[in-house]
Amino acid sequence: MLLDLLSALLLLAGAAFFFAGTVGLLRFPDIYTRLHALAKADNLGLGCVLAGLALQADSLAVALKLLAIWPLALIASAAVGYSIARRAERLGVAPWQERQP
Amino acid sequence: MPHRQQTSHATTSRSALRRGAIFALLWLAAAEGNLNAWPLALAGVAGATAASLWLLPAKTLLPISAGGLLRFLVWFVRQSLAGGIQVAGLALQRQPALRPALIEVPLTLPPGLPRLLFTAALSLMPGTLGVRLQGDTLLVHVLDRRQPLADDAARLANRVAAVFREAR
Repeated sequence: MLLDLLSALLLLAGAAFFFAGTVGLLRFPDIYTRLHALAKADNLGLGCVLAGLALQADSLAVALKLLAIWPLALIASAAVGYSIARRAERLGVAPWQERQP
Repeated sequence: MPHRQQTSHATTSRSALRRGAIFALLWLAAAEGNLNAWPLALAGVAGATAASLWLLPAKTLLPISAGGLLRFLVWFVRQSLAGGIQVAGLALQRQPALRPALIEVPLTLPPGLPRLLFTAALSLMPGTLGVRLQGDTLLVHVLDRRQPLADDAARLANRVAAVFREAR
């Protein structure tokens, strides 16, 4: 019962972070700030969803399998985020600057 | 020297055993403890171990401290939680308070895995994104240029150094 509640909370939090990450992707002004939103918010959302699902898993093996996804996705996300940012910088994409008041 | 050769072989076999055990555990988790496909598991674990030793030879790997790694992971999860919450808050603000800038950070960690871990972890921490590793500096994109980047980077470098038992 308590586990179900905790699991539901984690799943909801995960969905909220995915939502915020997507909003950031759409609203942020340039490639670098968008990468921030994707790399951080979506990874946290994934971590919450996986933890929430692991609490509902039928066996320890299934829970471990779910939890193993997170570090693997983190590594991939960090590598891909870095590659995209480096390519953008090489192509001379200047970071967005707020207008001076 | 024959003696040196021997120690290098011993390091490689110890490393192969350790990595093989980790890959076997990953397989067990992925197969949910079901060992019906054990020949495939054996081939997969052997292949993964060989690839890992080829890409990251045992002698180039600095010794990893289990305690340092554990402390790093706990700290890292807290930091990535803070990073996600911060950027989610920014995304949902009416007028996102962004003051971005590209800033160079000097690297104090040795080249190789420590610097890779530093760069990867930095990108998941609040407000920072690694853009380019070049020479002994890392170009970092920050969401707010008033963030104490030098302090944050030094703290992360200390944590990473503790993983590799490496005095800076």
